[in-house]
Amino acid sequence: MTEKIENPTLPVQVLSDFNSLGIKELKNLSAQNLWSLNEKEILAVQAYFRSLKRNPTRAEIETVAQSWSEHCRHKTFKSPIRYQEGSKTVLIKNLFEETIARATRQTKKPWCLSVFKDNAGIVSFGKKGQWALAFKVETHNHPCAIEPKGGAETGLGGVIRDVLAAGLGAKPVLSTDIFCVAPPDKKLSLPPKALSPERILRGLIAGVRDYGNRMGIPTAAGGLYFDEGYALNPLVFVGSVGVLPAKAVKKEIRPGDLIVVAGGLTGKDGLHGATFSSANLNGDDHSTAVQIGHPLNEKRVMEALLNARDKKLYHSVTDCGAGGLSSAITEMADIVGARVQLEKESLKASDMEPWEIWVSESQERMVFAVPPSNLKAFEKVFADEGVESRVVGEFVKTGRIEVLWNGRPLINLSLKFISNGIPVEEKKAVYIPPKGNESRALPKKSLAENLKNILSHLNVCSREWLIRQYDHEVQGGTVIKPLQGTRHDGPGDASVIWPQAATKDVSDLSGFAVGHGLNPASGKLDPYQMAWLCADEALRNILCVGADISRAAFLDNFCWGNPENPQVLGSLVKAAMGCRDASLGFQIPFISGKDSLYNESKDASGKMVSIPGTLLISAIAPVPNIEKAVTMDMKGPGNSLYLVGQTGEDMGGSLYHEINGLAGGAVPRVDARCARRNFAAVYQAMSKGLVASAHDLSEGGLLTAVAEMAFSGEFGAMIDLDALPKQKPIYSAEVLLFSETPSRILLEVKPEHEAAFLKCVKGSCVKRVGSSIANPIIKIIGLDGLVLFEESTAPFKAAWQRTVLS
Amino acid sequence: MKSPKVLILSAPGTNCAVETSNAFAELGAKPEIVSLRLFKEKRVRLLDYDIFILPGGFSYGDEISAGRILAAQVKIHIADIKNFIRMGRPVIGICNGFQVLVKAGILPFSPSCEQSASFVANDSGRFEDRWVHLRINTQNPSLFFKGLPEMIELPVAHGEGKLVLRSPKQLEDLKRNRSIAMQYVSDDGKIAPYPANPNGSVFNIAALTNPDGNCLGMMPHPERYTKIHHHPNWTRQTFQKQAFGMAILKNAVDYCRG
Amino acid sequence: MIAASTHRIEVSLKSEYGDAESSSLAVVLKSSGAPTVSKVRKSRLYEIRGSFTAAHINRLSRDLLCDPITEDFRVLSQPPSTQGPFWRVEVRLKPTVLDPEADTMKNAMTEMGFPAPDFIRIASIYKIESKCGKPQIESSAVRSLLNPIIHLYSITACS
Repeated sequence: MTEKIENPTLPVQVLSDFNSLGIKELKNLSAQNLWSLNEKEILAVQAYFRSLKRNPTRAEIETVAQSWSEHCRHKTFKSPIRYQEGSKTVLIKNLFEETIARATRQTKKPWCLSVFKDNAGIVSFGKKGQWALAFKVETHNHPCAIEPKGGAETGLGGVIRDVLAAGLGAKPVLSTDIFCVAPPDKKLSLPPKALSPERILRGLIAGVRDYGNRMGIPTAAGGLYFDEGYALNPLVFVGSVGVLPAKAVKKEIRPGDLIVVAGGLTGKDGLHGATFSSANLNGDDHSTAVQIGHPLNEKRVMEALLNARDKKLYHSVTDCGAGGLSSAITEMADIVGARVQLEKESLKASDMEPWEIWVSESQERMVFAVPPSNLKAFEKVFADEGVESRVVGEFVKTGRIEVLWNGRPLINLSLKFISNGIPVEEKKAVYIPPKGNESRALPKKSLAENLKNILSHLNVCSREWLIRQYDHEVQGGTVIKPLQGTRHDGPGDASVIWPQAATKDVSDLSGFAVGHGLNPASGKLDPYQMAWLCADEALRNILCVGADISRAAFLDNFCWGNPENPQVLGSLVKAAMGCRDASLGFQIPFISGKDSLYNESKDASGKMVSIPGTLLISAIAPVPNIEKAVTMDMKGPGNSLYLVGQTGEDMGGSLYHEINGLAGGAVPRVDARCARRNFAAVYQAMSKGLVASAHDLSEGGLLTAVAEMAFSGEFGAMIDLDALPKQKPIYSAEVLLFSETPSRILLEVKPEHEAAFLKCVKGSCVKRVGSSIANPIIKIIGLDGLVLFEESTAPFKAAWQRTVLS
Repeated sequence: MKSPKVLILSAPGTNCAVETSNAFAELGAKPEIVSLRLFKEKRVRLLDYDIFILPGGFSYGDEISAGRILAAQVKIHIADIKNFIRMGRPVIGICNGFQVLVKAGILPFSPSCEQSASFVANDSGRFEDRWVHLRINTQNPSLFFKGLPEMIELPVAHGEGKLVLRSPKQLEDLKRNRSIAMQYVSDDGKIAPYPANPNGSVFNIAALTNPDGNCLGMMPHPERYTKIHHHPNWTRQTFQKQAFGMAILKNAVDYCRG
Repeated sequence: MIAASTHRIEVSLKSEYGDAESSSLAVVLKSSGAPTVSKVRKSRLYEIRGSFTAAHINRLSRDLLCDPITEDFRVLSQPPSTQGPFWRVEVRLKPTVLDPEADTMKNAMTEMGFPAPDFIRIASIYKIESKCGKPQIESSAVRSLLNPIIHLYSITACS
């Protein structure tokens, strides 16, 4: 471990004239110190200290600033919004409560064990329900824009600690990563300090690779999305799934429990990460807000924590993330209270002010509530792993957070003030639907050319170069891999994890799948529908590998621009409404979520540019028997191909439009009732082993999906467009082949299973549209009964296999 | 002997110990994950065990170079490994464990136990996780491949897996004393370059043994193929119906059962 | 008692072993504004402060820092000798940024019975053969090899 420095005895810094400062001076002070407190907030802080008749210490204001930061408080989602759409204006009291949380309550799923309150959402898992899955996805955008590798490392490290601190601690069994970046092959004019998209992407990959591989956690459910709108503000979504005993879900601090910090030492690294995340990037040097990860230390903490959990040595745990000890201890103390002797914290830097120790975000630390009788045993478990632990205080029933520094009062605040004292500020939101351009006539490129352009598009082409850099098989549980097919290189819809390394029970064949839906292109046209499309895509991805989606749970991640801009906030509100309706429509609860706002920066010309409003919906569901899982590669000749769901004229926001330079058209709508019925039927058939392969229809529509299934399985396919189930008559082959109508899946069924399969899908919209053939060609029969398209799959696979970064 | 006792070494950064242990438990052996610390504190004796496994992972973060720090520690704290091998008991170093065996001078075997080979970064310049085809050297005397076909598949996952030797003569020695246990090959069994050879190892070497054949170092991960559902193509059902990784571990257990 | 001093040990891959990372770095540097880069060799520089004898430093280099088969090491007593012409770019983490490798190495050293070092920093050294001038080398290095937010660096011409 890093060398420990003897504690310094720097004095407590009191802001001796704080209570007499005018508003201008207060605002300057907030800006100078990176507190990110707005006018009303800093006035509320002053009023509080005036009522106490004393000036605050710097540490006290830092505590409040951390706790009231956008990062910790999600102010936008939890404060009132006056929302205007057309001529109607409504007051939303609490956006989160009225959309996502409400939907979750209404879906009433008894297998949701913990939603929105712990460090991760937790659902029941395992053959007998004796286990639980904790899942969390969060963003780490700002640090990654400045130092991509370090940012990705600490982002992944942070979300892993969230899962380690879910309930009494879950063993991480899967990491997920999704990056939204600008195309690396485009010459963009960037402001002087901005990193190039290529540099950012290389750094992000290296960070997740080096941290995740060293942690021994498979990274097997990722994604990569390119759009120029992310040039200055790349988005990095990192996720972690962990397994814990169902009995270890509940955590409860008792007064008298000791506050124990375990893990790395505290240093100056990572000061002001939480408040920094509320500030927009303006090219200043924030070197202390940027860190690099130390996976070996985190791994030691992980091993010790899981060992201590199984020995029942502590009552509660949380991770030290944004806001450091300040946030962690304040959060834990929530309903009790805490007394801390800060000089007992171990330091690695010698010149730290007490407030810096209190809010430092040094990585790889956790805070525990340990009953005094267990302390010795607890310390031994951690010492055996080479992890230092130290008692820094105790939980007491005072309702206050009291921190002493060498016997002198450093912080003495009421928890009520910290949690309720934040002034409520009404925000304005306006939703103006983007002007839909009229769709122009379709250009006359050949089908083959269009298909090639789609398959080689940055957002579709192979991710093999990336996936192989991640150890996606460690822990011996990746039974369906991200790359599928004869040559292990086809685009799987999802991975299936059999967490034997966590349960140590190889007789329990329970697994789970994780999928994601992300569709910023549709969000530019209709943020409400985007939410539906994301939910639908995430579900289909996991359904395609055989997950029981009646037991699925969603996670949301909102990345938007500046919510002070009413139009930006309007589209955010719209997307949140979409999440609510999709959750109710599919009857699938949200169990955890995060938001990252203020994703805007000045471009080379000094103009403020915001990212496209980006919603990520992640889905997790059990695969009750991993031996029944399904992959997307075509399995053999002479099998029937069935299309699930009707095709409509859904070209708005489609990839076909993008590559042909077309705009307009409506964003597709999801028919949830129909989709649910179809999906349930598909799952029935899969669980009986009647489906040979399944692939979802997403970007590039039917023809893309057929091509991918065929070249991954090294067979061919014949499709009859006349047989396609359609919402209304469609006469354009381009539309039938490239439309992106949601909720559609292509299935392959062997002749011997066909009768049973048809029984399973009776009453749902599942139609035979063609068959697989031995010759590796794609053959499309047009509406006129003539062969419209007949091409070998090889050139399409070659187009798809372009390398994004060598 | 009914249930062989298996010692699976754990050190900071090893991360394949649990799945390896699960596999041995399934085979009816008695696996124990034992921390290197217990060796330092002299609270455990290697010779009390029947099988010794150095599992995969990133011991000490693979800082300095892969397996380097753990190798230095093994030389100091687990000096008994030489006796263990001399007594004919099975040792398997998997991935990082193989790197440790090589950097500790255990493999390639020499009486002086001086390091004579090493690993450098993969030719591709990056970490790679992929399934490879392997040809088992039927001349190799080892106990680990009984009942296996000549061609098998296993996954590899490493960034520093390119085996290099001190001299060309050493390769001839390895061939002569039949120490090359497995080679990376193409799907039709031929010695072939990348990606068949995932790292650029000399002579496509994927695994080595000592001349007696009881100490095996291998880059591929047997513990990741203990169930047919681990194979990337199990849904196609066109491959052999045997989990080759499990078969290798089972041979070690069977050998101890006598 | 030996007085504490700083020891510098440079470890580099022997030239007969191809260095995949270095070759890809050359490509990256070229595309980052230094078009004439012909070759890059990367090595590691360990800066260790503590009370060590020359025998300690030699044993540390042989038993831990340098691979006996693939690498060479040199203990540097003064700024490195020159076998140019090339640009030598030294990159190290700022003192305020945690260095995980140094941290792990410190542990390993004490576990192997060495005196505890006071301080370790590990720098990367890139020897870049190129006709480009210093400003070009610097800007391409900043664009691809290092990040001034977390790194300190120096660039010297070796001839």
